[in-house]
Parts: sequence; structure tokens; C-alpha cells
Amino acid sequence: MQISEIATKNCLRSAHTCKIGKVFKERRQLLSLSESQVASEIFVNVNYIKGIEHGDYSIFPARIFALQYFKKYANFLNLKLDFFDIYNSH
Amino acid sequence: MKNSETYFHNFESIDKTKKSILYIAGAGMDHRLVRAIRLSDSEYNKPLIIDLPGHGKSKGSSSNSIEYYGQFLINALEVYDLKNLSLCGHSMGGLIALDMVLNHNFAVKELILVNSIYPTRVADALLAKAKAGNGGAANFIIKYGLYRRLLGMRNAFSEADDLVMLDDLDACNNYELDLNNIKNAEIPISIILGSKDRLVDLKTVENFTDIVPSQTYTMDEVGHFSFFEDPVELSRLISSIV
Repeated sequence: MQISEIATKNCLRSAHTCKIGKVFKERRQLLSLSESQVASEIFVNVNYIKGIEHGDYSIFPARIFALQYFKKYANFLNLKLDFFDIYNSH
Repeated sequence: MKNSETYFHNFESIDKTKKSILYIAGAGMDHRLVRAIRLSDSEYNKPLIIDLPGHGKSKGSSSNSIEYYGQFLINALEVYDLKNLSLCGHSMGGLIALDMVLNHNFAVKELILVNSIYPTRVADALLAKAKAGNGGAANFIIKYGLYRRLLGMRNAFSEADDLVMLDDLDACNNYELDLNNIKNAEIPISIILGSKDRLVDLKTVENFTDIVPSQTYTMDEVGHFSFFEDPVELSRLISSIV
């Protein structure tokens, strides 16, 4: 289980996740919030915030973490975005 | 660190810039649960644990209510205002952690259940042992729960001449959680199981993970006492999650 997760982690970034990440970043900046402030406000690891904004989900231990924190961050920014399931897109 | 009633383990050295994990012990157990957990000193504070009332070095009386224990810990933690906190509950402690997050909206970064699942129903034979005293119940749990041969496991349990084990086991049996609350959990729940754990029902785990956003990890050749049976692997898993 651990081996397969590690093996696929390098591929967890795509043009689509990057575009979505940019939407997060722009909304956050519009609200004049830093990544750390968001992390502190919604109790999420700051590296997860960075991962979502950079469209790179390799930071997450597993898909469910990416999905749940994506939703949590989107709710906080009041963004209506669908999670792009890069884990099952190959 | 201590106040007059409650024992706080490793709270005297908290660095708020580091990650903190509050461990919650299972039935009849206490701060000794974390004695072999080792995480990177540069990234994590020492393992934090608060002895529940009537357990370990804390005074007071045990309770047959998971909700009571959850509220107790929330109150105890209030003064520390930890913003970088995760919860890791072992066995009954997992139920307490669930209750803190789901019923009290206690904000944490990660929630980890170790050898724990909801619901936890305790066998009548174990309850009968617990009614006779802590020692018999501890021996029963060790007999059926421990997979690796470990000397001194008995020392991790309460030796007091009270019925703290009975209270704790009743608390597990009594605990009811609204499944809709679990379904809507904002954070994923990490579940660490032992492949040889005979005290956690795999069918119950399956039912739980079907509903709840969660990730399950299984430790090979480990029973119900991952903290003692393979603390190195458990530490590695915890640090990969938090």
C-alpha cells in the first residue's frame, strides 16, 4: 500500500489542477490573506494549502485528504469548484 | 506539568511553532501509552497526553461517558490555545477523539484512530472481568488483544483498586454517535489498525469507512497494542499523516 502511494505521488499534478489552484490563490489574495493565515483560520496544514494552490497533490498522504481539504478550503473561500480527481484520471 | 487535579504529560515544553499531537489513551490506560513514540524533535512537540480523571496521575473519578471525557479534555486544553494540534486516540481514546471533533466541533488538523472504530461494543465476558476488578479485565484484554510477546504489558494498565476499567468499557458500550455527523466530517479520519487485532471488528471498520471520509492503514503482525507492539512503525505512520 505504502509503496504504490509513493510511486504515484510524482504524477499528482496536471494542467487542470494548476488552473484550479490558481483560482484558489487569486481568491485568497483578493481577500488579502496569506497562506499561513488561511491555514491557521481553517486548521489545515499550510503545506496542504500550498499543494492545492500549486495544483500539486503529492503532498497529501492519500486521495481522501486531497478531496476533503480541497472542499474545506473551497468552502472557506466560498468557491464553487469541483474536485478534479487526478488520482483516478489516468 | 500538573494542576491540582489533572496530569498533563509533556506540556511544559510546548513550542507553538511545532506540530502538536494529543494522544488519548484507551480503557484503563494513561500517559504511559506514549513512552515509545518517537517523532522528529525539529518538527513535532513531544507526545502530549492528559490523564483522564481517575486514570494514571490524575485525581478524580472515572466516568462511563465518552462525552464526559471529551468535554474534560476540551476544558483541559483551553488554556493552551494550541493552533497546530492533531488528535490520536487509541481504542476508547479514538471514540473520545471522534466525539471532541464531531460533537463539540473541536478544531484539529488531523484525527487519527489507532486500534479503534465506532461503534465499539464490549464482550460480556470482558465486562464480567471488569466488574471483578481492573486486573482481571487488563489480563483479558492483553490475552486477546496482544499479538506480539511483550513482557510488562500489564504495567500499562491501572493498578488501582477501583473499577476504572469497568467505567471505561461501559463508556465504549454506551457511546452513540449520529452517523450523519460522521458522514459530514470536514477532515478525513485516518484509521490505523493491527492486522492481528482481535478486539477491532473488521466488518465494523468496513461499515464505518463506507460512510466516513477516511483512510485506513494496516500494520502487519500487530495486535491491539500498536503503541507497544511496534512503536517505530506507528511513529512512522503518524508522521506520514500529521
